[in-house]
Parts: sequence; C-alpha cells; structure tokens
Amino acid sequence: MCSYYDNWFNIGVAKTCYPGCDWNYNTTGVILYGFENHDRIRGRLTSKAWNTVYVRPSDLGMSGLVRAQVTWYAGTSQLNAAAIG
Amino acid sequence: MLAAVLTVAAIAAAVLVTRGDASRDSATLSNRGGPSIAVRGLRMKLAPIRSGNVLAVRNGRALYRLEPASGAPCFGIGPANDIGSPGSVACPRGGFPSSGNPVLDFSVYEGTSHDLRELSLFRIEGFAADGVAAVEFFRPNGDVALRVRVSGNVYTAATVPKGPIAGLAAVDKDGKRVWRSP
Repeated sequence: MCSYYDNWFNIGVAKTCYPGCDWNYNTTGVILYGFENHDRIRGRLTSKAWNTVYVRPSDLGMSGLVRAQVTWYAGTSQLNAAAIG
Repeated sequence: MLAAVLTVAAIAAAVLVTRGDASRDSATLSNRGGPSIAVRGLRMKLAPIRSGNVLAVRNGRALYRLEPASGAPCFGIGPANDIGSPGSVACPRGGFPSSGNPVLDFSVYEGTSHDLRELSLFRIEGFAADGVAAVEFFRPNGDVALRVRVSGNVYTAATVPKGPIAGLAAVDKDGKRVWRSP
C-alpha cells in the first residue's frame, strides 16, 4: 500500500501480533516500510510485531516528492501505518 | 481442583508477563553512550522522546539510545552532522535486546519496483547485543555477501555489496551463528 506523492515528513508503522506471532514477536509477515519514487523503492525490512518504527525520507537518501509505502514480502500480519507531511 | 486451576492460571499469567521482556532476559547492551543530549524534530505521538545518548558515530551516522516519556528505550539513527535529530527510530515492545532478538537492524534495502521481490542493500547499520561479534548478510543461495564487525554494540558499513540479499545473521566471536532473520 502507498500514499500519494507529497513532501512527506515521515512514515510510522506499528505491526501487531494478529493473526499470530511467536515468543519473540516474530510474525510470518515480512514488510518493507519506507518511501518510493518513480525510480526506486527504499525502506527497512521487518517481520517483528514488537516494533513501532518511524523513518524520514532523508534517512533513506530520498527527497522531494515521494510516496510513503509499506510493501508486503511474505506471510501474514496486521499492521497500522500512517505518514505525516 | 480449584487450587489446581488457580495454580495453572497463575503459571500461565507469569509466563505471559515475562514473554519477550528484555528486563528479565540475560541479553544486555553494555554500551550506555555519552552524556544525555536533547533530541528534537521527532513527531512521534505514540512515543514522545526528548532525550537520548549517542552510542557511537560511524561512517557519517550517529546511533542513539533514546528515552521515551515512558516504557522501554527506543533506538535511533541519523546523520552525524545533525546530532540530536535521528531520522529513523524504532521502539521495540518489551525492550531491546533479548535473547530471542539480539539484533536491531536498521539497514536500508532498495528495489526497483513493488513487483520485483529482489532487494539489495543501500546502507548497513544497526544495534547488537553483547556477545554478537559480527552480523552477516547473506544471498538467496545462503552465501555470505558481507560480514560486518560489531563494536560497542553497533555496526555500520562504509560500503554495501551489490546484488540481492535474503537475510542476516548474528555470529559470536567463534563465528557461530546465534540468530538469523528471516
């Protein structure tokens, strides 16, 4: 999922244990959260339900108009994500 | 019978309470960093942070242990030329590290589109518990693409290997893998 293009300040993501996670908050859901432009998609990978994470575009070496994005790579996991501009 | 049920319930409750709780875990992070500094520029409603400690400055990046208003410490990374303004923050539930989570990886991955499942490294950085001597990044076939030494509970790399990366592992001083993801 992704936002529209804008000068976003950051994206925040909170994964949950739904529908399940192990003893160490590992879910089967692997996601890449971050930003993208027309050329590339960049972000950090996580499968943890233990993390509330935030990242700014500049910390991914990106600037200007970008889309905040969370890309699913494997498994299943509920998450809440929001970007602020 | 009632006593047995209550005993089982009490044991279950104790297990649930201790789940993933780093404060009850043997894993440690001995690097306490420098003096407390003001942290600014974070617009994080769920985890308001006002102060932190710089654990290290490496390869143009500052690595922080951050103190939220309540709860376990958060960790952050940002440009070394703007100390006190981390660009990325993670707040692990229950705290970091734990024996099941000895690495908090902040590495940045990139790809060319949503549809291509192949990701390469853009930057390598993160935090590791005491006892983790290095972090290995491996290829889809399992070969090690790069091994990054951990020093002072942090790791960074000045350069990244080209090509796809499928996961990472923590290794101890003897080279034994003690954790991997995924």
